[in-house]
Amino acid sequence: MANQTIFDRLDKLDRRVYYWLIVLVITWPLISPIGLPITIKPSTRALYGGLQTVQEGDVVLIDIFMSVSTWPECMGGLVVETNTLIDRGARLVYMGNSVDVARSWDRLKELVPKLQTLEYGEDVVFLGYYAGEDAAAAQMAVDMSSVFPADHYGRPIAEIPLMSDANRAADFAMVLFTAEGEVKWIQQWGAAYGVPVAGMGIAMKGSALAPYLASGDIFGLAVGVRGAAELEALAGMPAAATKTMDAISSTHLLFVILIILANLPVIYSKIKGGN
Amino acid sequence: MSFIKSTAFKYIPILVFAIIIADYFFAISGLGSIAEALRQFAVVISNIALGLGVISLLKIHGKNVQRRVEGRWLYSIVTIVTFLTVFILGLINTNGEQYQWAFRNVYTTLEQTMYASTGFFIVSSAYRAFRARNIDAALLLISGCIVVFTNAPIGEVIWSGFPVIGDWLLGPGQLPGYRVLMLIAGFGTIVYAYRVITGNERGFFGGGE
Amino acid sequence: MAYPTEIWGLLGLWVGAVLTVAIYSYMLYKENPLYRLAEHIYIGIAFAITAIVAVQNTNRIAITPLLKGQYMFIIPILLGLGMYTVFVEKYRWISRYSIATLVGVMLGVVTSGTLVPNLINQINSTITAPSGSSTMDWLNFLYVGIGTICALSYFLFTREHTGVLAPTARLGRLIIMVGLGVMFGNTVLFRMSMLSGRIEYLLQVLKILPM
Repeated sequence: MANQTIFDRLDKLDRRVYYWLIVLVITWPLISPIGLPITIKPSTRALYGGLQTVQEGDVVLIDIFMSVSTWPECMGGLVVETNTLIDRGARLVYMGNSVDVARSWDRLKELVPKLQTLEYGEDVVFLGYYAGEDAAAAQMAVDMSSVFPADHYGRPIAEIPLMSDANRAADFAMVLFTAEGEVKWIQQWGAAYGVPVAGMGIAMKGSALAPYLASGDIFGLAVGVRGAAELEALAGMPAAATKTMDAISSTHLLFVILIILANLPVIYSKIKGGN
Repeated sequence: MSFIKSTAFKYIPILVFAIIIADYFFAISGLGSIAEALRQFAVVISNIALGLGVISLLKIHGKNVQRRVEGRWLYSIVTIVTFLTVFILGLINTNGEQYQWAFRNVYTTLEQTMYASTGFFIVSSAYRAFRARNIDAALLLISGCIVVFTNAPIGEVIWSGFPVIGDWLLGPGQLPGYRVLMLIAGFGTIVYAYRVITGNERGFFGGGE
Repeated sequence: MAYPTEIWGLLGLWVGAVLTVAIYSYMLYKENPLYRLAEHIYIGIAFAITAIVAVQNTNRIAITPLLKGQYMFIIPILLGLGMYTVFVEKYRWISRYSIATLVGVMLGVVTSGTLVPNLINQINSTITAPSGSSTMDWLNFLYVGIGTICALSYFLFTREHTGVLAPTARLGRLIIMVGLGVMFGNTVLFRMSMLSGRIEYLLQVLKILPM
């Protein structure tokens, strides 16, 4: 025991110490915000720039793919997108592929009071849940009413004025995805009908979406809570995502410190010529 | 009857696939409405199939209760009672106060908490698992750590070079790897389709006759 | 959203907080009764909500149109219900018709959809020279081009990685490692933002942070 190095001791440290440490480094900046500045990535700027090109009366489809579990990542970005599009005078069609999409829709209404001021059916519609992924997207591209004969509240789609102007892909100015589920829009709407596609993914989707961004299949991308905070900065409306970034800083710092500590013995043994 | 039970269904994917593909590439008149109907069928079938998991769940937990499986059956009762309570409340009225209360305070909380719990594990594994024992692992860890410092605003405060290298990694740096994965997945899809239409791939039907 | 003052709002908030702590008790005490209770409540409610959505949506997109005279919907409804015969050994063959239809449609849609964005556009983007004239653009172009070929060669399993393939496959593997490292970095961001969301919630319940 006496010959144990600090690294051995760290290695044998009860994992609960790490758990309490992470709670501490998240809590501290939440209580006392630091407010470090955030630089904007080009892909986020491109997304926001794309939103600015929307003209009054354009119809935009927003796929709330996220479940309630990914609110901390994506809700902030969805709020900025919605506010920006309302300010541009766009008409908004929401739907989602997560069974709890109705809960996300309710939360979005709480966070964007402007949504309540829009005339439902004329300026905004919530179509609710859809199943069938790619088949649904492909079918929506030619006949939206065949996938959604009625909106989430059971109102027949034929009685919704906005939907009479927006029944197929060509009627939409843009598709925005949230969290995941982007491939079907890229394939069935973007590539097939030339509808611009963009959105915000959970952070892990950043890598999978990079090729689409480079090839121009999506015109912009905000990645994770960082992307949401960048959108908030661009729109000048700092909110939940911006607040989270301080905790992101502290946790990420702790994470790298732990990795460096873990690898010091490895580096030491390499220098010494061991395995 | 035995033809219907054991053989006929094998031709359906080929026929349906051919209609969808022909409609996409050749826009043959008359075929469009059939393809549309098929896609609509898929949407409805997928929707109805959502309940499959529910039946499985009730079967498993029902068996646990029936057999009084030690250490499990009481929890299975909790699952079944919770399921039935919320399901009945939802059937009565999804906008009702009780259903909304459960949706908002129980489901939302538990869903978010469950998904977030992996955050703890990634921190403990940072020290216990992520070791750069060879060049490959070192490269993974170094690029990972740079991206970690690029995503966190503190990275730029520590060294202004982090976001510069990190942005390159998030752009062209990671592109070849993921582009190749995308190409492979794309070719894989086509090969899989070929295997299905030639009758060499029938795993999706499940085992047994 | 303000801190609730009425009884049901307060109760909801505290039930949420207790359930959160119950789930995280796993971190401190591994499998324990409190965790298992919360876990089983979660499973029950998650499946109840899925079942409700399935019933409501089927009613909205298929049964209501059928009752209004769109008799075509009888086919997908029967095919959908046919899926449930997987649980009955004797009638399992019926489910194969439902699966066959679903697989045929999905495969057709995905195969046709994948061609342009996943294959043609990716190859085009790799071989198209940069429009900008900066040295960095050209270096990136070369890195992506060579990197893609090398990474592809790593996945070439039909030939042994010897001769010319040995260094290219090795370089390809290293380039893939860089990509995986980036995803690893992004995963950390994802996990931490989720976790901070939950801790923020607990602090709000305790009135340490405003709602």
